[in-house]
Amino acid sequence: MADPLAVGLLALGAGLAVGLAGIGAGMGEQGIGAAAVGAMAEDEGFFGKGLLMTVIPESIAIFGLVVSLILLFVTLPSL
Amino acid sequence: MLLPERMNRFIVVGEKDELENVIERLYSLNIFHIKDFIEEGPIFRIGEPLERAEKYSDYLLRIRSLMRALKIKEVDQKYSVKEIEEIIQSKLDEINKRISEEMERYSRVEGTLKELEQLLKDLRPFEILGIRPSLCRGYEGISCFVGKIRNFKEIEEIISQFREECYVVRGDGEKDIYVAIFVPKNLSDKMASELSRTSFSEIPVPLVEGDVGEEIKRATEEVEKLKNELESISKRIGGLKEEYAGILLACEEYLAIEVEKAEAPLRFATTENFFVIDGWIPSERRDDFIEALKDFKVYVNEIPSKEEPPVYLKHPKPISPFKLLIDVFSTPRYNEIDPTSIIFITFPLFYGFMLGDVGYGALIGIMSYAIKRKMRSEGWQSLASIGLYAAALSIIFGLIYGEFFGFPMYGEESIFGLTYIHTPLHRFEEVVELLMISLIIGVVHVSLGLFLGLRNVAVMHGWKKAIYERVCWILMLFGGIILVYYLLPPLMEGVPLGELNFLSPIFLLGAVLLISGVAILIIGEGPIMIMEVPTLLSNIVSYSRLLAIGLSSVGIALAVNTISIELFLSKGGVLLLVGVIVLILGHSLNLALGIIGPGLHSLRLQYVEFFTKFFEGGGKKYSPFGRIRKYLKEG
Repeated sequence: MADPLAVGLLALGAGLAVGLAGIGAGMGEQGIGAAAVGAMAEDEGFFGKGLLMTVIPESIAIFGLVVSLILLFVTLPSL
Repeated sequence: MLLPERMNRFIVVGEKDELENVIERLYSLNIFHIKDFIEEGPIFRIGEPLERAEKYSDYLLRIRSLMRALKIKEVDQKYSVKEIEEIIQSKLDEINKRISEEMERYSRVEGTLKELEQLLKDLRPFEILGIRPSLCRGYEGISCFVGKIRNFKEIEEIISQFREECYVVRGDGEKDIYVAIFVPKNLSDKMASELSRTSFSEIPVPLVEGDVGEEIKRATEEVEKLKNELESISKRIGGLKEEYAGILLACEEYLAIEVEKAEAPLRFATTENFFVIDGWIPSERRDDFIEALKDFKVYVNEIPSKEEPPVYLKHPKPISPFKLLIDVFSTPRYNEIDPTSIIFITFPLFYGFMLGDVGYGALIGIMSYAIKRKMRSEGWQSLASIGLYAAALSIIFGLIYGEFFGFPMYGEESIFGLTYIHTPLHRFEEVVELLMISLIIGVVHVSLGLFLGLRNVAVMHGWKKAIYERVCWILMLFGGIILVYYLLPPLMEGVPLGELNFLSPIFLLGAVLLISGVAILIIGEGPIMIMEVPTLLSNIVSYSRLLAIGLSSVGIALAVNTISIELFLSKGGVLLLVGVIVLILGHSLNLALGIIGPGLHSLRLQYVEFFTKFFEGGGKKYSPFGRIRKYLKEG
């Protein structure tokens, strides 16, 4: 059995990875989202492009998710 | 299929007598993309519209305003051109008169009704105050202030200043206190300035003479009557709408076609006696075009052109819905690869890989089918078809992952009792394998994009530029992959860096590819481009979303199932109902996320990671002279 402290810290790290990455992505998206809504008010045809631009920073959240997945599914079993 | 349709440029020259016939024929042919003539030089002038243009656009304007007033949407009726011509000649004025009369009546009654309702609102404070509105105006020596106030104390203070010289009536409403203050005219300025310092806000004094109660009663009765009248008018308008919707739509289409034809000469070059039409024809329709104009006394000639032709994306029917996804991005250039048929494979594939659940896939399939049946517009049709492909792939991947609304389909916990089947690829148990598959898909997708880009740049700007702009990236990508392949496994097993064999041919090959790629990039585009090198890595890592989005979707489904079963369903009784509600709500939420998430991210992988490698866009869309008739019978 692995050191419980190590397991706990690992879980904490996985959580932080997702959470902090999510905050970062959210901060990125807020500006883009506001601008996209503004552009859509001018031209409704912008909806598709606007939606797409808005999800671009979501990558960061996904990187965070991947890091936490690696922590939980790769690092944790090898402890 | 991988390139836009090839185009040929033609000019048609003829005498002006033939102009109308030629326009007619070209319009019905519906393949000729007219290149608008721009006036320059002394010889050619822009043509003049046909005579009927003005009259018809006037009709068109009237019909469109009627259609807007009646809020006419699509109907399923068709008329022949002859019927419509007759209606426009003889009945249009009458229809116009009937509809606009009713509309006018409606807006008149509506106006009166609004006035009365306002009056009722204005009378209400006077009812509370208990005085006639006529008592509050029209004095020579007295001013009257009527208004509402939040706190009567404020008024009391003012009254004490004016003493006997003012008279106040007070009425308490439900929320506000109403007051009417009478003062001699010479003090009215002082009173006004005092009141402006309080929460007093003035209200209008209605112009009625009689007793408030009677006036209110009269107005209420009148409002009732007008409301009934309004209802009957709108019923009549509804009847007119039913009667004329189809006719108006067909008239609008007919007139729009006629106006477009009549105004076509504005796009041609003309001299005193001749006209010249310049434009593009899809190469495969070349013979049809020449054949169609054979009967006229015109000179038709194909001319070579250095200009970029309009872009016509043509695909077999199963693929064409995906043109929507290209349209949202940009129209490709004439010499660029048209990625529609590639997206046809990769978009549903990525979607299915991410969602991968038989239950959700089936639900999305049913929804897409319903949309396809209900919504007739082109955009919705395309979207629904894309949805059907995505649903099919989701079901296939669901069978591989063995998931049905997050429940396992195979193995010991199978909900279908399929205990003897082993799950081919379990998403929670084979995370590392799935991550590797995701990244390999990424490498394949990005290198496909780079090779397409190599071809595009080579065709449009020559090979030298292609090497500087694309070959270097391909070298870096493959060099990088070889290095990762060689170095990563031992490093993950904890072998120290010093013990690795840096002279092995595999390592050297990778290093040489990578370094030569970077070198070419620096020579071609300058050292600042080194900043761009890491984007290649982040592009590939970005494909890990193929795994991540899917896992989060399974995670939510699993959580919903666990909460519902362990907290509620297993307890029985009333909790059974709660459990079912949790199941339905949770899975609907996850389904909504499952449509938006994988859809957007699959699209994003195409747009951001794939298209940027080869797609420039900005081509001019092919729009042939003519239109498909919706409300007119052909012929």
